Amino acid sequence: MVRVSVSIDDEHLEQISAVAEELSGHGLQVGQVLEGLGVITGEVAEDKQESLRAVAGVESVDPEMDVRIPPPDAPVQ
Amino acid sequence: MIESGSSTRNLGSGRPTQDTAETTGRYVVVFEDDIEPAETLSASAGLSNVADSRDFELQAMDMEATADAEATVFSELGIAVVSVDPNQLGSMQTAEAARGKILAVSPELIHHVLHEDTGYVRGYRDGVSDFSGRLGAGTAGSAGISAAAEAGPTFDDSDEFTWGLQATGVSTSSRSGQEVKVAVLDTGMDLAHPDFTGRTVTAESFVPGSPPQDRHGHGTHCIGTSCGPKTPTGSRRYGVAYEADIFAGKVLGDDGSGTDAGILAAINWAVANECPVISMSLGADVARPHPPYNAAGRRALRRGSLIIAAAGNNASRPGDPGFVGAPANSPDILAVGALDSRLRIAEFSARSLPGRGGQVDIAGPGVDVYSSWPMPTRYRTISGTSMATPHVAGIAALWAQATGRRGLDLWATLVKESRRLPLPAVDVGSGLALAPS
Repeated sequence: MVRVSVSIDDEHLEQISAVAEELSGHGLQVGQVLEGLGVITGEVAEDKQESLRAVAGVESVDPEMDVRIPPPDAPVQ
Repeated sequence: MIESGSSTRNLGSGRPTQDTAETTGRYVVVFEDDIEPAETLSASAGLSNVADSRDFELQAMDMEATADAEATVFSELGIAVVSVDPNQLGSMQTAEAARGKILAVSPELIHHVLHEDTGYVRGYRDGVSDFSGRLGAGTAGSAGISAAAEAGPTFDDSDEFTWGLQATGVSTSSRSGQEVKVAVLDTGMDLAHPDFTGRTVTAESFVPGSPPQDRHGHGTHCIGTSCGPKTPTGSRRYGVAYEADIFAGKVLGDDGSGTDAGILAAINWAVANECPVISMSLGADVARPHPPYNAAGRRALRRGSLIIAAAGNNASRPGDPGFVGAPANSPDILAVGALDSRLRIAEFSARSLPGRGGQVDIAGPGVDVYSSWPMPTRYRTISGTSMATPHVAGIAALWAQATGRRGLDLWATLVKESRRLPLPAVDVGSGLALAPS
C-alpha cells in the first residue's frame, strides 16, 4: 500500500465528496477529504494508482514525500 | 567650486546630487483624503482663480488654457499645483482654514528624459575592480560586489531585542498582530512555557498518537519567533506578533518527521479557521513542486490564507547553492531564504530553482536566532531557513493588522515593503522583510 494525496481540479471542487466515493470504488482507502483545499488523502495499492488518475475530477495522484527536520541538538534546523 | 543655482552638480562626476533639483517656483499641495481642495485653497489663501480637472471632458485638463490659473486642482488625486509666493504659502499652511486639511507641500520639480550614462557606470565598475583586486577578492563580478558589501550593516542581539527584530524594524513597529490568527505547523508547542501564559492558543495534533505538546523544540522556537511576548521576564524580546492568536498545529512528530496527510490536514484546519498567516518551517529536498501543495497553496491563498514556508537548508555555499524544496517551491506558497546578522545570505540557505514556483520570494533573519525552547531549557539559539520563516510570518501578521490585507494582497505588501539588498534575487527574492512602522 502506498500513501497518496489526490488533488481535485477546480471544476470538481464542489463535488469533492462524490469524487471521493468514486475513488473509493477504484481502490482508494480514503483517509481525509480536505474540502477547503480540494485534496483527498489516503492509501492505495501500488498497481491501482494509475486507475485513480483516470477518475473524473482528479488533477493528480502523488505518493507522499519524506518530510523531516534535523534533531533538536542540530545547530542548523 | 560648487555652483549655486537651481541645479547643483558634484565635482567631476557630472551628476546632480540627491538633495538638489530644478524647480518651477510653484508648489504642489497634497490634501488629506475627502477634502475639497478648491474650498481649502480659497478659505486659507484667498485663491479664486482655480482650475479644476472636473471641468474638463474625461478630466483632461487643458494645460495651456489653465496656465494662468492661481491653482490647478487634480480632483482624482486630491492634489493641487499653486502659484503663490513663499509668504502666501506660509500664511496658507498656518491658516485656521487649512488645519487638518493639508498633508504636504513641496516645490514643483522639473523632470527630464533619463539619459543612458555609460561613462559613469563603466567608471564605477573599474573602481570596484581596482579596489577589490587590492583586497585580494578578484575583479568586479560576484566577488567584487561582495567586497563592496563588506562595509554594510551589522546587527547584534542586545539586552532588549534579538538582532533579527532590530534588522526587520519589528523593534520599533507600533503593531502587535492583535486579532490576527497565526498558524504555525511544526512539532507542536510547549504549552507550559511561562512566556506564553495568558496568550490565546489553539493547539491541535495531526500526528496520530501524539499530543500537541512539543517534545522536539523546533515548534516552540518557531512560535516564539513569530508570536513571542513583548516583554518576556528576564529575557530580551525575541518575538514579532506578540498579540497574535496562536494556532499551534503539530504536523511533525517528536523525531521531526511528518507526512503529507498530516501537513495537508493541518493546512485545511488553519484555512477553515481563517488564519491569514500559516507558517511552515518544514519541507523535503524535492525539486519538483508537489501537486497537493500546489493545490493547497492556490486554494488557501484564494481564501485569504497566506502560506509561508522555508526555502530549505540544503545549500553548502559557496560551492553548492542548493535548491528550494517542496512545499516552498509551489507557486502559491511564499518561500523564505535566510540571512545572517550582516544581511548576507546564510551558508545553508537554498537558492531559487528555475521554473515557476521555485523562487525564493523574500528573506528573513536565519542565523543565530534566539527564541523560546521547551522547559526547562527555556531559550535556545539556532539557525535555519526554519528561523527566517517565522520572522516573515510574524511580520505578515503585523501587516495584516495594519492594512487589513489578505492572501495575494498580503504577499504583495510583504514584497513591496521589503528592504532591497545588493544580493542576487535568486537567493533573497525581494530582500529582507520589514515590519510596518
